Amino acid sequence: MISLKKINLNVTDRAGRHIMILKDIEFEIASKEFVLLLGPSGSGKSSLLSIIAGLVRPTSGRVEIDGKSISQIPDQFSAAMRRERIGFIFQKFNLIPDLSVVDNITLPLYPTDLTREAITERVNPLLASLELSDMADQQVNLLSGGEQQRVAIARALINKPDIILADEPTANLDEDLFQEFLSILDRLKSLGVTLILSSHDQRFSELDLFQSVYHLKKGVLSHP
Amino acid sequence: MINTKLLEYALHSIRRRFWQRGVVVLIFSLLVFLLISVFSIAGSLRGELLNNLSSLPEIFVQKIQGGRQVDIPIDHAFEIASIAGVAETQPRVWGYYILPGTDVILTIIGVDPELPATIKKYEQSIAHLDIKDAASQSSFFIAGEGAAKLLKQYGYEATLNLYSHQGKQIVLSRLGLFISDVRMETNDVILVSENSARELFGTHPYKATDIVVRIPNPNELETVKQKIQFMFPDTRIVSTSDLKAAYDHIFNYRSGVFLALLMTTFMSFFTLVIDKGSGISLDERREIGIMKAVGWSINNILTIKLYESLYIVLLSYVTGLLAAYIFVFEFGAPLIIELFTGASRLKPELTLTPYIDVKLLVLSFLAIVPLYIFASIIPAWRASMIDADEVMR
Amino acid sequence: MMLTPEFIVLLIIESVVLLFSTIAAFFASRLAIQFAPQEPSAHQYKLLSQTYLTSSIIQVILFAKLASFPLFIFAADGLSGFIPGAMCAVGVINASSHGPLLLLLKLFMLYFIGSWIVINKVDGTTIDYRYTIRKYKLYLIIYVGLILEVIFTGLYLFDLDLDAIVSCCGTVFNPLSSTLGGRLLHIPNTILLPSFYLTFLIGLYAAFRKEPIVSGIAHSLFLVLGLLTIISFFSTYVYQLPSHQCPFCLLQKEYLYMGYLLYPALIAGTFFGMIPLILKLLINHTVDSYRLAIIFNSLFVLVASAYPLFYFLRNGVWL
Repeated sequence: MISLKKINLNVTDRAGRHIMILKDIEFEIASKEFVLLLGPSGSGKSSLLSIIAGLVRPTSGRVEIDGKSISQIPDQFSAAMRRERIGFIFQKFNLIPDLSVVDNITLPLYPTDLTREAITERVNPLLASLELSDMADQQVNLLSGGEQQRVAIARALINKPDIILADEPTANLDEDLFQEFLSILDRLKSLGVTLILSSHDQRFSELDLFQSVYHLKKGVLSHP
Repeated sequence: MINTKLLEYALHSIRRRFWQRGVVVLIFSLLVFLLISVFSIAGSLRGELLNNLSSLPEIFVQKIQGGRQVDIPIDHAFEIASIAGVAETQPRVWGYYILPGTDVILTIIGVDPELPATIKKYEQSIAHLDIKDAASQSSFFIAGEGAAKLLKQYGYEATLNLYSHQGKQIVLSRLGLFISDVRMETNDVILVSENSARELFGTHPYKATDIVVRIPNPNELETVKQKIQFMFPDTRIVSTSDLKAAYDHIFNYRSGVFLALLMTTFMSFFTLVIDKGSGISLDERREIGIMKAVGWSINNILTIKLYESLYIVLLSYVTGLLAAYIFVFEFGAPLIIELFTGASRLKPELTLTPYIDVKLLVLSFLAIVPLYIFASIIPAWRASMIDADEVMR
Repeated sequence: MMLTPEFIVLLIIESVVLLFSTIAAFFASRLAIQFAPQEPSAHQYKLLSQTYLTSSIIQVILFAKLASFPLFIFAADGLSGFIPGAMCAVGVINASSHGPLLLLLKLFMLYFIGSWIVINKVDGTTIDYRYTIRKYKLYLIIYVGLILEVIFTGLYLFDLDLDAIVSCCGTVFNPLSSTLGGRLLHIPNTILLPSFYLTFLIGLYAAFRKEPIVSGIAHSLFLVLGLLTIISFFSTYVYQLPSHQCPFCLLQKEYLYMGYLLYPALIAGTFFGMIPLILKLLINHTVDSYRLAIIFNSLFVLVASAYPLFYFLRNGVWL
């Protein structure tokens, strides 16, 4: 369902030097598949996920979702796609610190046509399932790491995505939170989403959650 | 059709960053405040004057000699009265009188109790006084409310001592007060008998200060003016519409409305440059990056930013408006009113009547809001162009 | 000096519009020539980002123009004290032969810029930037129009002679006079009125049937007829005076500011009625603005017709 076709990403830094970030990345991801992208930091994992999400345009090559290219489309289409189909979990959570939990979670829905009531209907069950109901109106920067993680996950789920991209989601978490995250992964599996998770943490490869595992090193992909 | 959630988000955004935005709101409010204050004072004074004018007769005829106004022969009044279109003519004796040793300037108007025309103007205001009775006491005076207060300060209450142009003392006793809608009238006006006025100003018995000509049909105004001018080439004829145009002119141009607008515009641009030049904070950059990552489009962000600008400018406008209203009409606009009263300081204080002119409000709105919105396009655009990927690392 | 407050504010707004429209024209010309979105170069990315800037500017310009159009009329009215013989905006605008032309140009620009914005919106729904280059070329023509406005305004102001006596509405709209207004009003009401209602009905029908060509033509005619009948017929019933044929007094307090309902309704209604045809001609694409056209035009006709109707009901005769 997601095809990456000869993705190359080159950037020029301030000094004018060309840096190759991704080289000839090519693979397919089936619907509902869980994909693990392993690699050290700086290997280009975040860039690859950004490209899949349509946030970054590859220098050459393209990403196709359900047969349609999403790499060269105008911003309003790209944004709509993210709004409707993609949930993104970031390494540093990337929550807006002075907004409340609810506001952070419902952020993706603001540009939509949904009424406020419809949004409330959606967010309440989500809050409950992630045990965030009690702190719904609190500012997120007052929350603990674990709570923030759950808020970030809720935000990724609010738009009922069929694709979830997780960029080093456990990099800043301790052991307990790591385990918590694993249980959330189980839940995602049961939801039937397609997941692409990037990490440098080898522990992920020991789980049998992932149908495919790829290694990314210095922008080059390999299949172990 | 309009996404209210985005409106809400923009409003919430401003509240969150209040201190940053607060400075702009403050400066803009100040500008609006200045602009509307000046407009309101001008409008209020103009309203007063126009009101005053409407109670005035149509034409004044003054005799000019050597470029200066001199007393006009009363005979002229009879001749003018015979012109077709003229309802009546009335010679008037009046003048300005400076209370010796002070900077108080009184307007002293002679009324002849016998002649209905002179008192017609004041009829309503002095109806409560029995003026016919006063005919016998030709040394009366009736003070306007404001004038009476002023005189009291100088020790004149029941009597008033004036000095004629020949230095002779004229003692007048107060018959009463007159009240008029037109505050400007009562502020420095004293009514005396025509005889007293003549004595005071040394006006020849067969002459008058000027002649008032009433012309009921405005269409005939110009014609009558021309006829009078032809009849008496050495006169100057001032019609109320001339005065109105002159007042309009003054209030539109000289009075500082012009200055106020210009000043506000320049200050606006200056403020904008400062505000907009200051760039986007790191927090905001992150926020926009996050928004884009979760599915906000560039257009969404542009919309939010422009809504923010709209809120700020509207908030400033309302604040400035309220502040101006209170300043001008509750506190009488100290300092700024000097712009209008200028050199000839009317000693009595003018209280301004609350005056809301929709036109002026709309104008000041249009003078400020579009500028700000235009200036916020480029910063809004720069915000919307922030690269989501860069920001999130 | 003619620097009335209205005039100054008008100048301020028009200057800012001139400044920003020039900026937009600069970017638009580059875009019209160089834009090739399928090319993944850094330069194209920059151009792409400039499309957002340019479009935003043009949208704000429309709002500014919508505000400055009535402001222009009121500024003209404010000058009536300075120009002998002119008793209101009508006299001032007719004080120079450039006046009415300027007014019509300004009105035309509103439609023009409005059309651009609709095109811009349509362009945003395409995945391949189909109309982008055409859109910016079109804007360059709009820019020429804006410059023309400035030139005409200059010519108009230059012509304004504070000493020459001008005519006011009584003369301007007198069917016997030779002014443009007079000549148009030569057409008697017995022809104008039925044409007015007929065109309205045709436009209405075309809108219901979503037929762009007939709708476009009918609504353009309707605009002209609407303006003419306001002057020669409906306004007389608003003022209840058969000789008072004035398009401006409708905007005054005495008449409940009814002009602020009538004119915008007419302009909006005809705009939405013409837009399908305009878009078809310019970019060969169509939009469905018919509902809005129906609503606004009906509103206009209802309110305008109410005046003579109520007059007749109350008095038993026509004026």
